[in-house]
Amino acid sequence: MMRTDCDTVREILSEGPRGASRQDLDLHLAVCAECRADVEVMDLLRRAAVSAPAGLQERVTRTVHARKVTARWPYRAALLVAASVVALLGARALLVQRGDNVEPLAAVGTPGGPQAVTSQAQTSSETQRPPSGTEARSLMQPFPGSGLAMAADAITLDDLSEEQLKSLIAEL
Amino acid sequence: MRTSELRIETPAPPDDSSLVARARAGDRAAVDQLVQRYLDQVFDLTYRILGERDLAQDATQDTFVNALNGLHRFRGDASFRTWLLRIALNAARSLARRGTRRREVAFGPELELVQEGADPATKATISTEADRVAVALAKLPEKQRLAVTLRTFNGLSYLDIGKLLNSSEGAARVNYHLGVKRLREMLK
Repeated sequence: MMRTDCDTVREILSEGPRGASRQDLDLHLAVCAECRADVEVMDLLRRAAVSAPAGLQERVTRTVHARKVTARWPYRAALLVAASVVALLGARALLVQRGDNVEPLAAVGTPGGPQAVTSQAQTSSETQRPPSGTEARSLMQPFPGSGLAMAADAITLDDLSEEQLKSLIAEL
Repeated sequence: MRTSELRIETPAPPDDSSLVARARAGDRAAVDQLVQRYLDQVFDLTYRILGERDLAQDATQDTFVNALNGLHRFRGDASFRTWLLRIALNAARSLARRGTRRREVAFGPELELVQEGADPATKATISTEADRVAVALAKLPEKQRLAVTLRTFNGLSYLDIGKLLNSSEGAARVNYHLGVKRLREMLK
């Protein structure tokens, strides 16, 4: 038979039997008044558990469901709007960037050759003031011949700082 | 017809993780089941901290609203029960800080007993015992009181109690045993 001391018994009482049989436990309790008192206290504690008052469950579930509906929609709607705006701005930035690359590629693949592109570029440059310095990228026409011209002061998401992006999303 | 043919096998109740997954997906019945499963535990814990039924009801409601509307924050590092009880602990402490009334106010006389069906004499005896225990429990230092409550009423492991009370597993164990020892002295 394993030795069952007070510490072991307290562990058993609070955690359930682990290696000690019920017989070991009873043998110890028969001779140890201190552990018997522990058992009595624990019984009392378990009997003193309070249960939730009638009606609380209904009140809680009603509130949880109500908050879920009211709290979820504005949150989702805001997320949706923010995501749409970011996607739009991203697409616009992509168009500008693609405008940088499209021209030389189109020049290689176009049947008219570089001359065709040059004439398109000339057409577009006639409608705009000459680019200078860093403005060149934003003045570039994204799709040559499409008639889609970027405004002279067009900016991309890359031009915005982290702070500006955050405030933009917040404003939206 | 043999009795065995009539046996209807009742399905095992769904475990917490499947209920949580369903609740996350918007299943209202799963939300209701989680509330039903943990209502008494949350109420008991908040009552032990606040000492008053009305406040404990408010804290219980806050707990479930915060937890079930914030299920996306539950990562599953701890069990759902431990996570929920942590929210309950914070909700009750927050109400206690905010509250004008403190927990010393009303332990005991307004206890609602678990044994609803007991006859009046038994109920009276149990009520007296329960009141005595509740008052004694309220006199314990908070960590000991919560260790005893979380262990006895909520069935948490010492490891989880330690996590909830921001202490080690060993400290939780010591707090529990000290609490039981002091209760025993008070209830002599």
